[in-house]
Amino acid sequence: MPSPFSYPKMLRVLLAHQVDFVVIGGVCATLHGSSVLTADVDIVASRHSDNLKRLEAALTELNAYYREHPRGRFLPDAERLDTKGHHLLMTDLGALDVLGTVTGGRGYEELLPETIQFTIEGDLQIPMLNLPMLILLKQETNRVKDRLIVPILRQLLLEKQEGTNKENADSEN
Amino acid sequence: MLTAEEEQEIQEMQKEVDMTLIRWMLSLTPLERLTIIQEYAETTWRMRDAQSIQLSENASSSLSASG
Repeated sequence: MPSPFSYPKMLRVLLAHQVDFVVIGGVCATLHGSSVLTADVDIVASRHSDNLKRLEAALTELNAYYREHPRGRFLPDAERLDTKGHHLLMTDLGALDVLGTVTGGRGYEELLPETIQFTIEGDLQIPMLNLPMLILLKQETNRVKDRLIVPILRQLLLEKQEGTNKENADSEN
Repeated sequence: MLTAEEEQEIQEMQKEVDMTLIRWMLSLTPLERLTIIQEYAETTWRMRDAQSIQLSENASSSLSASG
């Protein structure tokens, strides 16, 4: 049976609607190469009013609803999304958490300088946090599940740095 | 901000990280990494759904038995 979940398709819908967002959390960690698994996509979206309208349109296309209320089917609209809090959604293509801010009160604008573009499927450019910033956010949170990932992410960063150093040394020789 | 104790604890845990898994993940393309968590997520949500259906069936059975 083919998987109805598709993170690339979900991200494509957000990008097609020109939503300003950055991927954080477990998906970001996995794309960097972490061995930690996660069950949803976390994004921080710009809370600019135009962006919230584009986000609402993208979420409508994804048939998103607040997953804490599966029977009530509360739908995320621009007005509801205009908060610093977390919006835990289910969509046709997988679970999606839309965050207004993360630790330290950082929103999209604060995270943007710490964002890199990750290319998958040849043309899909995903904006996501760089690894040092992701580690910093995980360290700052008081949640045990986030703190437990920090050692893995730090080792990943070391491994990547060593790999880069090795590549540089090889290219010098 | 981590306390000195927390920092030490994390550094100890770093020694126990399975580097073979990290190196394996790094050997994959980003799309392959995304596919792995996508399949994991789908399985997780299916199991959660199945569990909630089972709990609701159990609750119904209990109510029928008591009624």
